[in-house]
Amino acid sequence: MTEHVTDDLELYALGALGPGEADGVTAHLAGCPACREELADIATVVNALPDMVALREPPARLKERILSAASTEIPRPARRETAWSVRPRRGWLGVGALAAAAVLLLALDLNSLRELRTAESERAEYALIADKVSHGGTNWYMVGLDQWQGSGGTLFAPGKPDLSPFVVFHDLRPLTGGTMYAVWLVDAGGHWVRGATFTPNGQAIQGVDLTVPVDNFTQCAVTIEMQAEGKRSGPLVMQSRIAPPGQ
Amino acid sequence: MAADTPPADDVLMAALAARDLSALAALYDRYGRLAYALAYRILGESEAAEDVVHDAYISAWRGAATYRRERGNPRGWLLSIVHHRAVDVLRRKTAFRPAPLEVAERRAADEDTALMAEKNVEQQTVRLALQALPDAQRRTIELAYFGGYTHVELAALMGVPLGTVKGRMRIGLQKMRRALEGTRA
Repeated sequence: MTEHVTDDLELYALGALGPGEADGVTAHLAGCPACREELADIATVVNALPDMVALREPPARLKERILSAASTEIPRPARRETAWSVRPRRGWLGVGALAAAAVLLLALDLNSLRELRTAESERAEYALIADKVSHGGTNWYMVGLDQWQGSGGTLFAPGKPDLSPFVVFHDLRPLTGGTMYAVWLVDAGGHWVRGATFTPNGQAIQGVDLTVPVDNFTQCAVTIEMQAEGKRSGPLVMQSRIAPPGQ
Repeated sequence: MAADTPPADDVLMAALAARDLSALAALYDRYGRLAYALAYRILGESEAAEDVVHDAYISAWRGAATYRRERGNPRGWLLSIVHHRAVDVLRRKTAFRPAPLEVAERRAADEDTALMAEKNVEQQTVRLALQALPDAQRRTIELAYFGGYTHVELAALMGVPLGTVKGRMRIGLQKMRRALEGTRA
């Protein structure tokens, strides 16, 4: 456990810490119920501050924009629920995901790498190449949440039974205070099984092997943890629903 | 969802986690104006505010399963996403320069607030609690929350040590909390 962060909680709640400082507090909060409780008290005041603002009518089109965008992300059966079919809005995503797959392809299939590079602007073609990387398996994209927006990872479940599942992350944020990322698989009953624990290597792309097959799990997720083993206790930084091959 | 009585926020959050679009629509109807007003107050531009609210609601849609009631109510959770995104956008747009304090305060302060705000009890209570603070504490909180300034920037802007900025925030928020608790008791 790192030193308590009580001196910084007001700054954290008001959003007045710099990004690196905020990450340190977030990491501490993941393992410190006492600081979380104190933050919750402070947040009751901070969350009241918007009440000071003069209400303002948003453009009429905004609701439709939101609902339309959300409706494209409702899970669909089987293979259509991939990153490439649901999350291509931001430019970084395409670049990051393509770069992530490129690293894989370097290791797996140089011919596919050339195909990938020529297909960077063609999402559909990319999906086909991703299929090839997976050896007939499938993949899902985990999007970074909140402060981790901009990070992401693609979970590949290769079709060959002798190949382990793996995740290729892009733009992982550095961690502080001895914390580490943990990759989890979650079943329908809400049981979290740790598939990997790792620290970011500072590169734009990082591959991580999972020690657990994805069969019978319904979600994958990444959290920040203080311990290399044990149950999940840290904050969620990315996640995705998954539908393993054959289901 | 039943149509007669509006569902509670917690019910909407559960429905949101179950990917119910009508819950997303209901949360927008309930908090969309406030979310947009908050984003507009921070950014001062309608298009940027619209994009922030759009992204925040989509983020809530994607992350509803991660919501934990013990860390705050759905309204606070949603508005904290809006605030975080709006400040991020603001900081990307405006690299900090040690501007005169008066300029920063004009940007952070909403001069129309008193005229335009709906006169409900909650708004009055929060405004009075903030206005009751000594000027230095009030300005520090406003500049941080609505102006997007970090504590380091605020120390330079106000010409005081970092510890003073931190102390003003802490004492100011403590006083506001006591004032709000007093009126809600």
